[in-house]
Amino acid sequence: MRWGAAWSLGYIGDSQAIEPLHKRLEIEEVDDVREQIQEAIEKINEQMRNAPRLSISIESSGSLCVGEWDSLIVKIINDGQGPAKNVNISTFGPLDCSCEPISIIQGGNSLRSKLNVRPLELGREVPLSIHMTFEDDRDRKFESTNKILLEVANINEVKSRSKPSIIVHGNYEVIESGTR
Amino acid sequence: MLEDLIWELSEEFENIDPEEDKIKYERLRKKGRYYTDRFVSLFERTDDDDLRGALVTVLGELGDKTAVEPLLKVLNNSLEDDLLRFNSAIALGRLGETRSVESIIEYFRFTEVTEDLWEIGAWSLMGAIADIGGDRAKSFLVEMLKHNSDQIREAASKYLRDFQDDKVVLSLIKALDDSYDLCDGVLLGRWDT
Repeated sequence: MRWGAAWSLGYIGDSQAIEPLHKRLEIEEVDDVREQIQEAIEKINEQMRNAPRLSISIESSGSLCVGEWDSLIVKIINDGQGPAKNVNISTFGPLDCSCEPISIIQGGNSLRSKLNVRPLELGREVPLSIHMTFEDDRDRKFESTNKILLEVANINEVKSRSKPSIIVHGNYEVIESGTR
Repeated sequence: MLEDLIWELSEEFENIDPEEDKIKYERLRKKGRYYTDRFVSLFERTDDDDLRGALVTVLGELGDKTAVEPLLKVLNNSLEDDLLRFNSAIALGRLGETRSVESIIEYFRFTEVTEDLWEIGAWSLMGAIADIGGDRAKSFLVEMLKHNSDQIREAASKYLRDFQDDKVVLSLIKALDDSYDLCDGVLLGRWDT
């Protein structure tokens, strides 16, 4: 069944199969199976090249205020070759949040979307988990979760502050786009 | 008149390659669908096993879900003719109704212990299960990766390609270390494309 397993793994195109396929290739003695493993590796590599690859930047126009609706600008960049479909962003943390779903981001393109947030907690490092799901053109689903830390002030503090700050963890890049 | 049509459709469906002759295939289905209710009704009341065999083929190809119940009834009845049960399982695979999966699996296990040369038929049954899809079909095929028959494991590894999730990928990765390398040429032929 080694032949069949390699055949299916190539068809499925999951990158986690690459290393085990290479390892198997090192010790595989049957020519037909070797050939199938090589084909599977090529197929997976090709699918990886064609897969969407998303990253997010978050832009804020200033510090957030507890209890006040504000917006963060989410810039989603697809630097993969294939399109990302049905991009959905959801958040977990002590704040109300809403974000419009995005139907498609073509490979090599980026898109800005507004994330409406209303913090429910004061703090210099209020955690916010951002969960993103999307699909490639073969309807395979991808997801990633990253955490950022937001500074949430009360309204008086924000008014007296000249420069906002958002502290970030994970793979997200924050672009501060000025003050308010 | 109705019986003549059944025989005609049955023969045509058995000899046609739907991929190669899509237009003719769809024309046959369209022609047959008009009579689906009458076919189902006749299937339920006739005692003629040959005619029922032809009807199983036709009902599977027509794709009308009203045929699921009578086909399941045949498949689940151990007193029925074995070939008729087998063909009903294949027809149910074509109809793609999730509730058929368990009955086909049960029949697969039944043939496993009762038939001497069951492996080739088992491939078709596994194909029917894979065609229907869903979680139960997936877990069954993953389970078959550990079967003691080389050819069943081989079939499972291939049918699993349509179930793309972590569990399947990890099971297939494990299968790369299986002692059996390749199925024989006859069975391999169906996977050449």
